[in-house]
Amino acid sequence: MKKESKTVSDNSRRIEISPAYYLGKSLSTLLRWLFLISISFVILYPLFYMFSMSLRSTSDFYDITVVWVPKNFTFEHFKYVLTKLGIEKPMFRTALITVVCAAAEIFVCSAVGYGFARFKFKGSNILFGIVIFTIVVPPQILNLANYLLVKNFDIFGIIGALSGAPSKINLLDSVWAFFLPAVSGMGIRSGLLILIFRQFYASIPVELEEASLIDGCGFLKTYFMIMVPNLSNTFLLCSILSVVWYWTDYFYALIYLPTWKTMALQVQRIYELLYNRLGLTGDRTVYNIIPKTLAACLVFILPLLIMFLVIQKWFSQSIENSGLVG
Amino acid sequence: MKLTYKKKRSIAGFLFVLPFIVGLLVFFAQPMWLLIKLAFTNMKFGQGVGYVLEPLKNIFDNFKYAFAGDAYFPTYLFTSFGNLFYEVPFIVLFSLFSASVLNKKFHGRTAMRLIFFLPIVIGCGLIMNVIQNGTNEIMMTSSDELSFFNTEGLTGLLLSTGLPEGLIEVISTLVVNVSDLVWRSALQILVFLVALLSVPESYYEVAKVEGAKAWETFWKVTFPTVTPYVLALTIYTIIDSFTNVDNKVLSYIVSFSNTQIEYSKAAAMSLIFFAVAIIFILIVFLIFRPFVFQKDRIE
Repeated sequence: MKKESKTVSDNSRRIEISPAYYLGKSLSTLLRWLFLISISFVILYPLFYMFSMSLRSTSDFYDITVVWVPKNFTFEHFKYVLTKLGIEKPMFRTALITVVCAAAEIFVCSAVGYGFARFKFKGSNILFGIVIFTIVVPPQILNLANYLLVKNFDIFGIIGALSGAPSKINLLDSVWAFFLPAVSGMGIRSGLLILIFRQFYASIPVELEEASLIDGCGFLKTYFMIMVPNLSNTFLLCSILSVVWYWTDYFYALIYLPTWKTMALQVQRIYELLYNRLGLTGDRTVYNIIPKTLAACLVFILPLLIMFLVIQKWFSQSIENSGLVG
Repeated sequence: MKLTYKKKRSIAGFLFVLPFIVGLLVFFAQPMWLLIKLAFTNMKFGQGVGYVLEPLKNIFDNFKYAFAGDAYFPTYLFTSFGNLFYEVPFIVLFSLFSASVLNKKFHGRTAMRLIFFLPIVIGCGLIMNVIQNGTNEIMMTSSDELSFFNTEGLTGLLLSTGLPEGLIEVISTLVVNVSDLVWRSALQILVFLVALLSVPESYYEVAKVEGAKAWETFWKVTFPTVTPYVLALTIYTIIDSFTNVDNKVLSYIVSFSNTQIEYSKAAAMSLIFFAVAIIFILIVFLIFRPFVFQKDRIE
């Protein structure tokens, strides 16, 4: 039987491509999109809901025929959230905390991860087990203990013993309560970042490090000149995660910065905020408050989405990252 | 004094890890120590701002209460493990699959990556709570569960096909939870995405030259190189479902300590909870460790 085939001339060579190849290719494209679209639906559903709700005017709310697409588009809710709620200051403060703490967290966790990935010292395995344990203990459980610690900050009673009275260092409502844990590998989910960094450092060929050490680089120089540049993708990944965690954190903020009005705290009590702000006018109805809260949520997550869009462009496929042969 | 190379390495390693050790002692050991003290005493708030730790008659009283005196805790503790057996494999395999799809070059990849990233941002609990409160206000209800998807019809459909009921139950629970599981896979997808990027392109070239099919390439090149991440993410997924706000044991402990103001008993319960979780994770770790492909490290 004669096999039907399409030929493509490629300068001198002739490559035969069978129809089955094209069939397989289009089938896999189809399956891929089927998969992606069905998952996207699950993920985008709440986002559509938020957009749909926050863009409708009051009359659309009473209208049963409006299901998804509002009849009277309005940006008044967004405008209200951006101008009337006074969120510029909280946003700036939160951005500052986020950037500083995330940077500190990444810097420390990457070094610690490297230490665990490549070095062995007494108790290193047990210590790594403890890293895992720090992720297992959820912050909700240590709520009270953390509060007491931060209120009378002390290191095993040493400060108290030196001054002769219980420690009076109160870190509540100060940035230090966020910054100190971040810079000592105890920030928000630092344990997970250490785990991620450890796995990625372990995947870099050992020969690369050996070569640098033999050529006379110290451990620190090897770390900064050889290991860190090789893990650019991991650094991007961890920065994304860390920034998201600090930006959306309301749990620690509630304990450590009770009067600080971070963005997440504002969003958490957005109902109360709007309820008070709208006063006793006729505007204080569910149909006015709900679109505004959802608009506030969208404003809250927008910076994160932009950050992700910018950062994900920098992800790059690793070229033969060692340059080693054989 | 001249240090041997090995000695130097172990000192350098210790110095790299040092910040973590300091943080561990200051910000973890201290609260944990207080928690342990609470579990073995009875915490009473005094008149002023302070509190007293009264010694117990029997030092294990709080633990005894958790197992024998409390009506819910033992049941919650053991039922919360059941879900892990299908949730964790699903999340890990699903995220590996999604990541390998998102790693291919195709039009609209950036948009798709953004969509798969969304759950990390939206699923942080905060936004979901606000949405849920909003829907409750509109519907004049007060449900805690966020139910965007209604899957009651599915169970009926499956029953009519004559499959065994046990299987139907598994399938329908899976479908009911699938959207939830997809939401919880976002971090894993992102980590796998970066892990896949770190597989050198030359591996694939070799596989191609040797005539490997796409499926073979995936199982024999991609999968082995990402096994370290599979292990790490399996452990993380287990931890995540333990520490999730929805976890029954955890929410019970938190509400117990908040409503009953019994911090000591709650502390004992959380210690039991941690112990069980750690044992579970250790078992998983020891089972899967031999399968992990590891490049040798310098001693």
